[in-house]
Amino acid sequence: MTAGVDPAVQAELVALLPRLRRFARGLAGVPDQADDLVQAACERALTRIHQWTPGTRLDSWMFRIIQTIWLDQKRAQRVRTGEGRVDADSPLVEPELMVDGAREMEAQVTYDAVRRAMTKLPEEQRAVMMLVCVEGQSYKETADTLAIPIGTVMSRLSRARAALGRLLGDKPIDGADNVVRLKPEGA
Amino acid sequence: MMKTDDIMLMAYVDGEVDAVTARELETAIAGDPTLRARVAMFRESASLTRGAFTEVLHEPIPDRLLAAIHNPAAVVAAKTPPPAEPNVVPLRRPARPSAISSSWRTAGWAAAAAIAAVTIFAAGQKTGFVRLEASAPPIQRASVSPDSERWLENLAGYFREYDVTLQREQRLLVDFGAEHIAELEKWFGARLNRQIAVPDLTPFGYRAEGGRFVVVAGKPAAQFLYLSEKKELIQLVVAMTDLPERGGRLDKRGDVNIVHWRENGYAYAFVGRVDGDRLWRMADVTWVKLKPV
Repeated sequence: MTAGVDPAVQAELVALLPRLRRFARGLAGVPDQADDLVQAACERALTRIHQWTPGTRLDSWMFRIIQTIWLDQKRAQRVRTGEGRVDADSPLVEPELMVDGAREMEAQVTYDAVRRAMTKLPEEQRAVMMLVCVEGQSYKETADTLAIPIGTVMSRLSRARAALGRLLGDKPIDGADNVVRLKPEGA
Repeated sequence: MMKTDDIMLMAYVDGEVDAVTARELETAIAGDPTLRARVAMFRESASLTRGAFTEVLHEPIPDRLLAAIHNPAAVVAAKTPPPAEPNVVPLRRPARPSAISSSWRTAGWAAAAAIAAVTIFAAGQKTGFVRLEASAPPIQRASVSPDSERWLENLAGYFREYDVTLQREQRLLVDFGAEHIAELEKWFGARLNRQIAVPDLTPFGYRAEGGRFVVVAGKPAAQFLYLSEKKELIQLVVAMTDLPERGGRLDKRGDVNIVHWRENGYAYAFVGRVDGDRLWRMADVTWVKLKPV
């Protein structure tokens, strides 16, 4: 079944784990669920490794598998429960599972709010957020990773960021003139 | 129109517009507070999101994920206990079949902790840290065995992660540096409900470089990192465990050696690429100091 997997691919997958976990955390919010996703994705990838083209990006392939499994799970869940988005109010991060550096408390509070806000976004928007804002992928790379049009990437991304701004209780987005420091301040 | 503007502004913030468009937008933005606020929002949402998900990169990798990659067949088998015909996996059947699946998530470190708990005790304190054959009762062995496998893999996996960062970036990921050893001892002591002294490995040529607080099986654990002059890494993990005491044991995962034992509610593990006998000697001279008082 996976007997033919190249050890180099396994090693690359292991090296990718921190980033795969981060991506999954952005989708699922809850650490255990995120790791379930990564685990399922690794298992699926290894049984279908022949579908991956050596020389292409393994990380993008894995992100896509994770996203696919995640959306499948969400759809199944919706069918079962009849609800829309789920877990919006569940605890995002279980403190005991986090590595606690005992520092940057203030930043942590904000980051907690961001992670919580992420769980309130539609599922499809989270992947785009994670790939562009966290992974640093270009719009084109994100479109390729998720197999969606680049226009869809952009519209999802802008909606997600605007929603995030609102969820974080940011300044009133429209008409505020007290907020900004932009480099090209001159006319 | 609003939407189009938003998308343009966002693309500008993300560096996705050409130079001409960027200049036009900059001019427009400079003269319009509303646009400036939008730009600020797009910048901030990206940087906050990036910051919010950075920490996960430094968390220990759960053993189950390493196992899923290195030993996928066993993982599948463990998740779905095989029927009578063992046609899939040579996995030892646990005494209680539910044990594996129900504890799957936390099995890793817990197991590790449990396992790690190897020990000394059995050995008899007078002789110091002696290598003993494990003599845990059969029930424990049965229920713990697969997990302990993963615990060892997990320890080795951590070690490799830290070592890669060290070799590639010439830095160690620690919460407390060497200069704060006393603080480190106090901090860990409070979290592990005990006094703890960072063992001195300088006789072996290793200097304590700092430590991190991690979680093993849902309980707090300490991770200390040591470096030699040649930047060789040694990792010491001290975790809490409910498992019975066990004597020291040397295990190997790939090129990583692990000496581990359990004593009095704590599990310990020395991990490194250093020669197994040498690692063993480190454990031998430090285990007494590591005992809870």
